[in-house]
Amino acid sequence: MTALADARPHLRPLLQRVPALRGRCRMHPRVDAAGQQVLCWARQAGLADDPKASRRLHAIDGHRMAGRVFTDSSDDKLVQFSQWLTWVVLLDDHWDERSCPTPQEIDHTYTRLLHVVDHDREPAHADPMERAFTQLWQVTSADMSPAWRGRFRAHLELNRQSTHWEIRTRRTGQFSPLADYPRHRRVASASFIFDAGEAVLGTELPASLACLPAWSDLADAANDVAVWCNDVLTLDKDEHEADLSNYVLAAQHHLGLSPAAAISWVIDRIAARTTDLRRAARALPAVYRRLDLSHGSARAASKVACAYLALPHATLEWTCEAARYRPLSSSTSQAGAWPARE
Amino acid sequence: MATDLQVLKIDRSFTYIDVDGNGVITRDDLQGLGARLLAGFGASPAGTQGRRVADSFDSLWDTIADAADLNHDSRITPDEYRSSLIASFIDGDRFEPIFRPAIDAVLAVADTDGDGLIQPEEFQLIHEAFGRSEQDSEQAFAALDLDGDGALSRGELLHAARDYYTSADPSAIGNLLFGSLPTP
Repeated sequence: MTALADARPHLRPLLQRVPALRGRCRMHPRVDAAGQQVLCWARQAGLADDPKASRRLHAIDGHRMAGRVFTDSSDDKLVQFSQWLTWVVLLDDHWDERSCPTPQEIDHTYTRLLHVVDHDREPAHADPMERAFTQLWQVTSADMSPAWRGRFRAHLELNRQSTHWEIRTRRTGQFSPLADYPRHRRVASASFIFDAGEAVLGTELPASLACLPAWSDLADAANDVAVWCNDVLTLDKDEHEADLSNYVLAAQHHLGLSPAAAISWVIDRIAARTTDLRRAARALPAVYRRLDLSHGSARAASKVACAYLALPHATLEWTCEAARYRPLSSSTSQAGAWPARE
Repeated sequence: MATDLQVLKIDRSFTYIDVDGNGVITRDDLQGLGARLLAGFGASPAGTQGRRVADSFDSLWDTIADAADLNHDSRITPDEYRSSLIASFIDGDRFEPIFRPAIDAVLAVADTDGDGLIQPEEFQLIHEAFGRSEQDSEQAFAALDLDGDGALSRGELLHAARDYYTSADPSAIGNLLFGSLPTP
């Protein structure tokens, strides 16, 4: 842990303040094989057609995030979710590499993705990202209901809005109001792929449960902790790149805090939301009773809940491990795996 | 060899895993039970306690599947389950190294304040995860709470679980772990 903590200077205070994030996640036993399949798929899909794109692809290691959340899934489902994660990160990189795409360009991209969701086929003259999205969508949505499709679509729309928000902060060079950060950051992490997670788990949340605030309390808390951990751990990189969507930088700006105090401020909020996450999960048995869910449905929903419960810890380890998040000052020559438990 | 009582208890325990009632259990069913337990107590599967539950349930499934002479992705019928548990935990010596860690892990999660005691509401959450009713839970708790102090120690529950899954004694209190048994 010492070497990694040195490379990730903000990790130690985070773990000290949030004990729930300590220790080492379980990992799917065949995660490496899944990673090879994802790379093969991405190359065949044309997502790594030049050396830069190939380096970017290899730096994602999305399978090692998926392998920590879906530790017991079948191998093909692990690959499926790893593909989704990889695609989402590539989309994020697409926006990062465009200095300031216009709102029209953003809308054009999402309109074409929504075309896939609405019509189950790729749009005309589809590019590699759109073809890959179509393939993933068709496989994932095959056995899912119209209600689930509606939720996925709605979450994809929210991701469109958060992309507009991120690009706007970049374009204007100005921080958004601090109160805006939580809701935008949690959907900027492409929370729609957790809808895909239901398909990975071979289940679908009952509509009566998915629409409840009790469920969104769980999902929102999990996403908040995950993205805020990412913001703390990638702070130096984001500051170097003037990424004003980073919650720590926003807190520093709006509250007049020193860098250390801003980190501490966000870590305090991570601790509080971790408590909220636990509380939201513990509220589920009473919700199941109120909805009169069958025992089978309650167990299936609990699998999805467990994926959300694991998300922050999995995100933390993946952020510390993946080459794409490596600190600027890192001297490590390879994307080192999470070290053995201390 | 197992007595009629032991067979009865084992057969009923099959139904506590097979809550969708499709007549077979798979690794996925046991993992679903684990998820129900963890989520109900707000325990992350990535955390220390969650990992213990998941790892011990994996070992438990492997033991059950191995003794039923199946590969690890197979479906286990009631007859296979019965034979496997008898071989492993009644005639065999696998209860301490395999079953006990799983029970310990569940009780550690359920003991939310770490005081070594399981309160009625915590016990009910465990029961719910196994598909038992509130009435079953109340009956079981009352039967197991021999000193009537309104709480069960983790040691008492571990002992009761061992009795349930292995004891041939009709008077063993642990027979009532999941509620009353049908009279023969």
